[in-house]
Amino acid sequence: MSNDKSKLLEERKKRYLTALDCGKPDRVPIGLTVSEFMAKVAGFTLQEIYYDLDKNLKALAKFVEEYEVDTFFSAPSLWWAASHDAVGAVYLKFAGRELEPNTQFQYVEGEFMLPEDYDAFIENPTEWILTTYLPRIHKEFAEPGSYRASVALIKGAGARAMELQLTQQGTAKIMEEYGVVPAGTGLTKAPFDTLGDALRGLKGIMMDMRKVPDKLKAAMEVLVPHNIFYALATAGGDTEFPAFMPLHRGAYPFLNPRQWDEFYWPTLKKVIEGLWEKGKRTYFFAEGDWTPYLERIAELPDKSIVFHVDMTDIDKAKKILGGRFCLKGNIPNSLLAVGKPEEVRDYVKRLIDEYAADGGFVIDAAAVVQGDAKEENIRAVIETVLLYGKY
Amino acid sequence: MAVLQDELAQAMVDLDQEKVAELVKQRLGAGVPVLEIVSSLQAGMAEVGRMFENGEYFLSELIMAGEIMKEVMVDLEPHLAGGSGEHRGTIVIGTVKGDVHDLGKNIVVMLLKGAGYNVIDLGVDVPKEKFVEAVKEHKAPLVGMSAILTAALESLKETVAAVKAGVPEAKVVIGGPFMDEKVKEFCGADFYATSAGDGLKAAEAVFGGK
Amino acid sequence: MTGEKPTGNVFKNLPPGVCIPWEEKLKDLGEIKGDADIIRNEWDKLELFAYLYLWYWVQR
Ligand code: B12
Repeated sequence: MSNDKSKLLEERKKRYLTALDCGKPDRVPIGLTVSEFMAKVAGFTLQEIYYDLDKNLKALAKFVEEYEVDTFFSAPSLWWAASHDAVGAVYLKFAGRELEPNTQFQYVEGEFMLPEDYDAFIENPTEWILTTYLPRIHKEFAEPGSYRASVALIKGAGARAMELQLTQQGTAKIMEEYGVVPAGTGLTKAPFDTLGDALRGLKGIMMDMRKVPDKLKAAMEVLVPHNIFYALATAGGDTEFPAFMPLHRGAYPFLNPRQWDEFYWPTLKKVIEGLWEKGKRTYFFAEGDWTPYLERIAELPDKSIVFHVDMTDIDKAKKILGGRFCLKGNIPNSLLAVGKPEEVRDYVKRLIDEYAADGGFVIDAAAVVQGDAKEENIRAVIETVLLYGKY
Repeated sequence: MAVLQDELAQAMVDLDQEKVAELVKQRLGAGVPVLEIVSSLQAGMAEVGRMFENGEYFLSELIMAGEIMKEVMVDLEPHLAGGSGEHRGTIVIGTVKGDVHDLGKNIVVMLLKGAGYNVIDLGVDVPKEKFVEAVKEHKAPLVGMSAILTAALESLKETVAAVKAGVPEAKVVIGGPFMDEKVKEFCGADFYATSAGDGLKAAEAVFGGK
Repeated sequence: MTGEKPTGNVFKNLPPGVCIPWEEKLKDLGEIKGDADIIRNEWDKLELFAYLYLWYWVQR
């Protein structure tokens, strides 16, 4: 690493971590959570990004080269489509395969775990995943032990290893060559979301709260240590940067307040507190509106989360969480897509003046930045922070 | 919460699955016209939707209500042959191409049906050609388009343009969390909606109030 | 959706990071002539990989 790059890296790291600790760094950090936008910057189609690991990482490099950000989130695609093809994944559709080459991938939601699976899941989820769940979600693995299934397992595991290694090398290079730090390391979920997203599905979990509440709760309790472990293991043990936690079914208006208190919050709180005990902060990526729950979230230990503001009322977030937790957000994505650079500048300036003035704030978009954002608007965000964001 | 006159509608509002099933069976047995039963259920659904808009109910209640409805409709649908006759007007609705979010759109469909409109739901990831076809086929004066991803904005704009080109007299309401005056202009739509209630207002503007 | 019945588990309550407990493996390794810790350490690394592979499909 060249000297000035390593100096830059240290500078940005200090800036970001100081803000996460609710302090005032030299200026407000820029931590844009960008995804498909990077493909546009690099001139790749979405199919190229989803399928070609090399291009996926190149797009990230191109983005941090052209845009002066303090942190990076990940390469534009979180998926290596080929690894999903190898196992015959039924829950995703990819650009270039069944979709036009330049379209967003699609989820196919399903009830891949059935109500009668709860007992086996609770007894030993790891084993249940292999014996019952994978044959359902991986067409190639439908008959474990068969020739096709065995090949699929070899490929699937090999693909994971390749992907992990290339991603690690790629991100190390981003840090070395561009002096940009990761916004987070490792990934985990709220236990309710682990079940509600990929396993029971939205409808399934909504029914379970009424029909099998005790099993649902028992399954979430079983998940607590796994979700803590998963965050740390996928971070390779790093505790300097927060663990990314995308939060889904806890947003308003998914659950009624009684359900939120009874089902969503208790195990989520345990995961966050468990991580914090191990020195790991959580990047609380609160998708949608979390205004009604701010008081409960404020029960968490000081600084144990970075609270991402999407559609949550930012004034209330500031009032209830500010000073104790770093806030991150909340430039509307529609403004980035259809607004003018002057409007973006005004918005960012207001964020700096009203919410970042006493530290503990990171500038970001409200939601993940996709291909619809205009390049001049992303530039306007950065220029405004560089101009007005000094403390 | 308002208490509805009709016991069946009220059972729906209370999300009492067993009671709904029982009452439907009873009424079918007693020879009550199927359409009447369906309209009781829809009155219940409309109240559920209204309570959602008011913040008394949440998605969890809506999904439960949807499930109850789906279950009893299995028994009712065979008796429903030949269309439902009277309605306040036809609305074509769908989530635009590139976007598969449909929870919001489904609420709108429920509320519009509850209010007495004939709703043609095209589902998710709907190509613009399919919108145009459906509007022509059903002669729908109003089209609702849902877009939840800002990345679907271009697609939304193209879909509005295609409908306007194919059926110039059709009105378009776009709906989703990021809609505003600016997005409406960008897309060339007639109305925008950030809630299902806004959608009802658009329908009333097009078909006239009650 | 194939929807087969759950097949039942061989192991119960395994901690995170473990697919096949070391104690179980020890049974078929029999007497270890050298340093058991060396063997165990490397075993654990691959256990972790298998565990993360499986959970990857759930935490997506
Ligand atoms: C549930 C969800 C999903 C589910 C969708 C399931 C389904 N069947 O709908 C799944 C998992 C499939 C999904 C996938 C993706 N999602 Co998503 N998802 C959400 C989530 C959590 C909730 C959306 C929702 O249903 N809200 C509840 C409903 C009731 O509200 P609503 O949709 O706004 O609808 C209301 C109004 O807008 C209005 N309305 C809506 N449509 C219409 C239409 C008409 C005619 C009218 C009158 C009114 C109207 O009335 C409704 C009722 O009041 C949001 C985050 C959040 N909490 O908002 C992200 C979110 C929308 N998703 C997002 C993204 C990025 C994705 C993915 C690309 C994956 C990813 N990287 O995360 C994929 C894209 C797949 C695709 N091609 O579409 C982003 C979008 C960011 C952006 N820049 O736009 C969000 C905002 C999350 C985030 N903060 O990053 N998602």
